[in-house]
Amino acid sequence: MSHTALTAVFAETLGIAEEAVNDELSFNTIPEWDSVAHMNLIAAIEAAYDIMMETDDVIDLSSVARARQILLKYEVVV
Amino acid sequence: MPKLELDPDHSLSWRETPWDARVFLMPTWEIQTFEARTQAGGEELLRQFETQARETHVGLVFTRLLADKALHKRLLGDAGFQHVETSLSVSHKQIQRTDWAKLSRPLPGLEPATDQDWPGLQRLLSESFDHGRFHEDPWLTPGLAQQRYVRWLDDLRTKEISVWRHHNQVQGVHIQAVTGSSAELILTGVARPVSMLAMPLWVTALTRLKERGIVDCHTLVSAANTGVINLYARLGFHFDNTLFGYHKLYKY
Repeated sequence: MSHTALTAVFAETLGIAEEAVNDELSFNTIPEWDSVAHMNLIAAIEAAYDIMMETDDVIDLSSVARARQILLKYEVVV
Repeated sequence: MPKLELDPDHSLSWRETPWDARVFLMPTWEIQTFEARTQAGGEELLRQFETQARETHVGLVFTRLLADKALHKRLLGDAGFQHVETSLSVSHKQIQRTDWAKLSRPLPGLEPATDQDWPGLQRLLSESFDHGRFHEDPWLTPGLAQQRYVRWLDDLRTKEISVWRHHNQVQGVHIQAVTGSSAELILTGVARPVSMLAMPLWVTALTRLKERGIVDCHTLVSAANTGVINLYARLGFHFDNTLFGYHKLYKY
């Protein structure tokens, strides 16, 4: 999946426009990305890339940029 | 429980709150019931209550009222009480019919607390909670609120306390009291750095109640804590009542 696909996962799960998804977008900086949405986001990313994240990564996935770095650990290039 | 009763329509009862007194260093009371049908009767009740409070050198009186009780709100205001917080009482009566696994994966490792967890629990309670009747009270210091939560923990030793440890640190807590098939959720929360794990913690705690055969549960949540309100809404809780919290501070 591409960079654009990850953007789409964020946009669709958080219910925001793709244009609002950038590397700086972070947990708890917009109302749509709260602790309720976070686990939906984790589930959506895991489903999109067929991976299962460790708890440390669930905690660490605090921005779009971090998501990309974490996915590299699971050998997913976005 | 001490009680004043003028007639069947006008009565007021209260209890001592030693968990507040320990940080306030003065006696503290909580009005538990306040029945008043008329302004005059309510004023007389509060006048008699005031006399007893001052004779006992009470430092703080707290009470909660249903938010739509106009007469009672006016009576308390006229008697020198201040509105300090708003809470919502919430409940879930469909525990046995709800599948929370669809909302989030569980949080493995939620276990009964041991004595070794106590320092970690105290740290968590002092650092990670912003909401509560002391925390939101504009006339009390944040330090007092933190201290109260830490000391409150000692009063909760007889309850069921579970902790979630991560990298050997207590990062989550769930405290409940079960009576028959009902559970009171007393305190649930995660440390700030892992706040994104709130949903899995609640899902795990509620799923365990379901596995135990618990039918319903209830709790109180601050109306200012919109993050947790959204969480309870998502978990299928019903919002039962809005409660206004009032206090009166005494100086001698």
